Amino acid sequence: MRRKIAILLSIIQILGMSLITGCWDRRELTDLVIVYGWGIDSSRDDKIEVSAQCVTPSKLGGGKGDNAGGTTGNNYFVVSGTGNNTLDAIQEMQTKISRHIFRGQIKVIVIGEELARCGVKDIFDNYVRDQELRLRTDLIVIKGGTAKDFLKVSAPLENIPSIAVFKVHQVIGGTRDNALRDFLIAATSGGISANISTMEFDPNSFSSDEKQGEESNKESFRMAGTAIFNKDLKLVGFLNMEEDRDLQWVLGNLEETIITVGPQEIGNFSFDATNLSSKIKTIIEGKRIKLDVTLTGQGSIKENSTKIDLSQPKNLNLINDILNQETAHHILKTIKKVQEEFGTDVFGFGEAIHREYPYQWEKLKENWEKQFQEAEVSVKVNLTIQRMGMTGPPLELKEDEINK
Amino acid sequence: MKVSGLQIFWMVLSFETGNTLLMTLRSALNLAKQDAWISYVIAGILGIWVAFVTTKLSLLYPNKTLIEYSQIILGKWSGRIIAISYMVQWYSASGAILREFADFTITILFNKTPLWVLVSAMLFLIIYSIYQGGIESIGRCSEFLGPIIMIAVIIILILNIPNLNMQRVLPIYADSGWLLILKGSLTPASYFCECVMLTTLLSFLVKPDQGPSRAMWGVGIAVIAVTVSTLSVILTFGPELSLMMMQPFFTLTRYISVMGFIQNMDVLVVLAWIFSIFIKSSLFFFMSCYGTAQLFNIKDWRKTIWFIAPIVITLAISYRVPFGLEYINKYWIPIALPINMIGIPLLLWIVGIARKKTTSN
Repeated sequence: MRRKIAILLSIIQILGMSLITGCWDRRELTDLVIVYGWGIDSSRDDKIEVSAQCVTPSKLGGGKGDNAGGTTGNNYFVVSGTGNNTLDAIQEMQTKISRHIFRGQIKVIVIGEELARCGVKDIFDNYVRDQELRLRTDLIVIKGGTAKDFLKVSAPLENIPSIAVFKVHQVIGGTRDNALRDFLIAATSGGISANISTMEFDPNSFSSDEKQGEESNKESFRMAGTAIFNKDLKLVGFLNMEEDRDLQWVLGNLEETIITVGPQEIGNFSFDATNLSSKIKTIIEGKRIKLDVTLTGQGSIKENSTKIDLSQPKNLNLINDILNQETAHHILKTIKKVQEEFGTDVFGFGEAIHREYPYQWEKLKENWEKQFQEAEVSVKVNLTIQRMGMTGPPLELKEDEINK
Repeated sequence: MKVSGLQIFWMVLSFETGNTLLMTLRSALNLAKQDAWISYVIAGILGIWVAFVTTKLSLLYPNKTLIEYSQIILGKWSGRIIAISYMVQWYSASGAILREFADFTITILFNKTPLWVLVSAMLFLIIYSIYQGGIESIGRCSEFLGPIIMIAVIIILILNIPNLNMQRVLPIYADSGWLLILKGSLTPASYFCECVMLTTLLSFLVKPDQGPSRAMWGVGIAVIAVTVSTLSVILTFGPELSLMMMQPFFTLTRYISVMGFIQNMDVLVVLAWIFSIFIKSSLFFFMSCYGTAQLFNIKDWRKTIWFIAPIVITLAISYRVPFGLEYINKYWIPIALPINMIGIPLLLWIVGIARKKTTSN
């Protein structure tokens, strides 16, 4: 009896297995359109317009050699939809496209400047809640343009331009593919304002080739620094690439960079810095708030156009001092600029106070933006030159020109 | 039906780890913010203490289950009332866990699959294993699945190390305070203290005196695994962003990207969680069947499966959404935790010791 029931149970089990193999939820690859880039813009009547940069499967893979640079069509196309929120817009987008829009592979989300200026507070809920999406996504604001136009721009090295956007950000450094997470953390915590890396259209990045005369007129894109948001998540201004480097370094997002000092009386030189780190110390004295930023790193001199012979230890110390002073000066200027022009704490000084003085922070956080504008900031840079490349003095100088 | 000490260890470890990890994180984070890990430590200490009390209690009457010795200790009728209060817990929990399983699977994997299909598929599997070997097959399953669960959790934690930022856990204590930390520990405690089912499980142990150490090790390691995972979530996303997520630990697993090609590790956490669910709901279902048989003096406990299974399916399907909050907040924490998990075992233990002393004198 027991045996019979057991056999019966196993038969039911096997039948059950055939039911849950996914017949209900099957999604063939030929029924999906895979999205790599995702754009969000503002539209009329408080609506938003989302655009998707989708892969054309037949244009990828085989026959790549024949198609390279050809005009037979792109590997991607852009489709958009308008709606009250993201899913509403996707619903409208779906009416124009024959396959189910699959968002699990999105590499980068781009936001048009107009929407960023209006505020992005309400648009990100779906990107955390929906299980199809991954949080590990790059996030870019398009300076002086819309996301829809940006997604249409092609890139020379990659099949899909979104991959190029993603890789450019990886190479430059900064928040990279943690951008969406870091933005959402900044948006939800009290002591830091959000920043998003920006890109802009650039008509002249690639030199024209006579064969591709028409192609060369096409626009291209480049990194353009950072967009600064206030606590209402509205865009208030931009930083350029150098200021962006300072910001990312203070935030601790930067691992390596190249710092060029000069031109000065002595000429210019470049320092290849690695192992960058940053530390913020806060001091509260009565009503005064002092913020001390200490930045450290090591690296090597990779280019030297000064007349100084770096093989001499005393010269090396001199150069090292100039490097630290100039870098600290530049970073302080950036922080002052943010304090005075934007008045919003993108550097996370508020969070530093929160960590060090949690009880005082309770009172400070109400009015932090104002307190931040009045805070005294000091920057100290400790870069150590460990190597200086192969040569001592610059190559092309004669013996008597070298400044020992 | 006999189980070994090692099997008890893996049983406790696997049903406490996977489920607690995914179901309790949100409520702890909601109250205690970045100090949620302290809540887990407190909850864990309570869990280990409950494991200690329940195992010591069952050692007083080796080879007897809770249903039997509660009647010996407190007399026939009060013993039966206690037994019924446990039946309520076990029946409802069997249904609740099946529902949790189905809801999770629908959200994560099968969006269009009907609820009843998932619930009954899992229940058939449970009935099959229990019908064949009772507690013995659950023991062997956990000996095999438990290590897989632990390895999955450890792999996730190791791969996530590059995403951690130590500053996100600061400031410690200042933002929450003891009251919120203690409140935050209630939900995790109600999950860790589920080891109260050892009162029945230990009666099947070959060498009963191994019970306390094996069970406490099981709970202890589960507490460590869950606490480290909680810290990992806080250090990756910070407390505020974690609260926006439905399953912070699941999102963390999806967030892993090592060198750009070790990605989409979510299959590991789904695996660990479904194994854990399987062992946990098998245990609850087995105890419901076995306990009912003992309570009503039914000789072949297997016969009770056929009328408990429909009850459990009905329960699982009839819970309302969002079910977790309602069941956990209205029954599991205010009633089951203080009475079934802490109160009654302690009462039985004290009275039991007193009885033993008087009879030996």
